[in-house]
Amino acid sequence: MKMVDVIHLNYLLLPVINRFGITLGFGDVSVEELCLKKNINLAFFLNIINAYHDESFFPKTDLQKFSVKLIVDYLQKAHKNYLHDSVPQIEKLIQNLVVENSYKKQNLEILQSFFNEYKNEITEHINREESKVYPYAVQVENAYETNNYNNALIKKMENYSMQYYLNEHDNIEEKLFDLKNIIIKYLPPPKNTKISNSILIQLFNLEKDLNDHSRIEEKVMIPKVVKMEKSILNYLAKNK
Amino acid sequence: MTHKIKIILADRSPIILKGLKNLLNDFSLIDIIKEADNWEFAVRSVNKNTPDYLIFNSNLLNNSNSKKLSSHFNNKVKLISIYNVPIPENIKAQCFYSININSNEEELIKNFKHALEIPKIIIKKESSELSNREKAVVRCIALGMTNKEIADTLFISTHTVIAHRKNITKKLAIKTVSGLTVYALLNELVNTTEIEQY
Ligand SMILES: [Fe+2]
Ligand SMILES: [Fe+2]
Repeated sequence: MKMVDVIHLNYLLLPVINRFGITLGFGDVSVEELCLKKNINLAFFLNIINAYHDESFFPKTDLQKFSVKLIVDYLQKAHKNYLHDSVPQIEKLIQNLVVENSYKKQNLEILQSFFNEYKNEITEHINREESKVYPYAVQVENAYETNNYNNALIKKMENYSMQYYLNEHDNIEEKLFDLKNIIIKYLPPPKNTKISNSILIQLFNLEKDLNDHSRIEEKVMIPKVVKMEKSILNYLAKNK
Repeated sequence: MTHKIKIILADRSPIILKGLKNLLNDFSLIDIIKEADNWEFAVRSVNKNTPDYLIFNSNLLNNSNSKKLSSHFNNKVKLISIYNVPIPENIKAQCFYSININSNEEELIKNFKHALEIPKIIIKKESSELSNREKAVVRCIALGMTNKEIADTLFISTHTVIAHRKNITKKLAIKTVSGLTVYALLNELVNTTEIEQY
């Protein structure tokens, strides 16, 4: 299959292929050639885009075969997308609503404050993953592979299992879902419909992307790390 | 889309008839105009009432009357056969659609929707109007009360509060407390000063 056909099949994959370092203007080259040229793990790439394209297709076990490092690398690129592209774009559009007085002042304030809450929530969520969760996941994998465990890591593993993180991994799509319905149903008709339409399209796209992202975190990365934690702790218990 | 899909059902078993009726009535565009427990009555009803579809169990047919199904009817009814034992190939070939009724509910719904060509966007009767009680609960949520506090304020059990919250979320399609607060503000169930003061 050619890369151009992938995009024709589902243009929502554009930001996804960008995360692999593939940008527009790739000509008539096949997916395989392009991955080879860009030094992309072809099997991983295919699994990721297929899971994104078709929600019912989720090769959990296949995806867990890839290294945590590779998975985390992809997830981090997605985080960058959210914080540097998606969220600011939506913010800018909401700002446009204000400039155009598209809703009455009081309602604009309600909308803005709700969006700001959401922005803080997603930013905090991502910062926590970037500063704590992902580095820990990579550390565990390193230790597992090199059989080299320092005491600090063992302490961490005993106190903070990846399982805890799964239990408290909160749902950052919920507010997004609400925001959509507030704009669709509950705010009175806007003066400028086009801006509101654009906001909604961005929200739908971001929601889809986040769903896919959380699914990879919860069903692929976390279980993989939990397995490695268990095997390390078992090994240590036996060799005490 | 006011046109209803007219259907005649035919099956020997009253249980299956009842089950099918239940399942199909969930699709709001469906009108089941007759039920038959044998093939002859089904044919007569089709010729009299001109339904859009005849849904019948293939076990109502025998070797002789299954040869040319269309010859029984004086109108263009679409035939949907259902079966729980392997269906003879010649019957299957003459039907618009064939459905194994031993499959699970989800499969059945999918297959019937497909067979009856039910469009994805339909007019469904559903109410999303909040009751006065639910409005009172939304107001409390917007004020920042806990379930316990809401229960005490409205003289109901926490259990009931939780049930109300579930219904509210379903009706409004809003999941978070902040989202409900926005809803309450926009619908003037509460105002900003109240929220700040509470
Ligand atoms: Fe994340
Ligand atoms: Fe996350």
